[in-house]
Amino acid sequence: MDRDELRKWIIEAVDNVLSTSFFTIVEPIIDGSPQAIEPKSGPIFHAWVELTEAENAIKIDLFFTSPFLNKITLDFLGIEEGTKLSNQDLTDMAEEIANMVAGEMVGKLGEKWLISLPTSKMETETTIAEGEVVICLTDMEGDVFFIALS
Amino acid sequence: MALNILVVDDSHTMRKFIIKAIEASGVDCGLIIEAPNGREALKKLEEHWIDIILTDINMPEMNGIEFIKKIRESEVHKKLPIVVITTERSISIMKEVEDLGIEGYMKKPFTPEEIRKTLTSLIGKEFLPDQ
Repeated sequence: MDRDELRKWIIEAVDNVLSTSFFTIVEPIIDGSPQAIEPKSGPIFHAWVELTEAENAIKIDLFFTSPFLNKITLDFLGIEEGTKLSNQDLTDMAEEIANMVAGEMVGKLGEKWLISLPTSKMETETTIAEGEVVICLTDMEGDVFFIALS
Repeated sequence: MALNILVVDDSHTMRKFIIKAIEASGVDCGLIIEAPNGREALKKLEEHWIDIILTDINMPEMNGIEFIKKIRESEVHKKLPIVVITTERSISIMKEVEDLGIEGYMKKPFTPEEIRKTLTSLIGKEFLPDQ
């Protein structure tokens, strides 16, 4: 599978999900690196989902900083800015975003691909394995999050 | 007539989003009941009068397909209008869902306006009389 095409599709998928339901526009950071994901204020929320088709499988990992995920979840739910959400709300939101991104990817990969139930956890440090396609995105306010494909 | 709506989704943030969208839609709603999977939703159907169901497909314990099958097999609930709200794109799965008989399908991600349009399009049909 062409990694450049996968990279382009995952950016489009994330962009569509965040702009449609979260009113958030994101763009890739060309020199973004996984080091930027080290938690600076609160844990990282890591959600992942697998897509499978015959012998093929793709794992999509999303890594959100706590402030970024809190902010877009407030937008999603129409809750007043500055409200602190529970970790349960945030992990649930991270899983749902992973689920929606997976759906968008199936739209691009082909409708024979199946989506697993999403899973998530909070992490105090995150290691992204070498060889994964890693994309760093930022929103208008400079918050970043990462996507890994493997 | 105020509509009682059952919202079935394993994500509680998605359920909150759907409920907010329903409340903002202008549709005259009575109760809005939530369930995290098909099994819990079947219990809610025994406890409350429901006029319409909005359900996800990919859920743990009892998924949306099994849930819709149970409803269509039920003498009491078999004619309930069901709208599917899902990320699912698989042709075979969606064919199975359509064959079970659903009144609408919404793809996630969606906007609150799409919920409003879907609900208002159902009102006035035989299973949802004019409000």
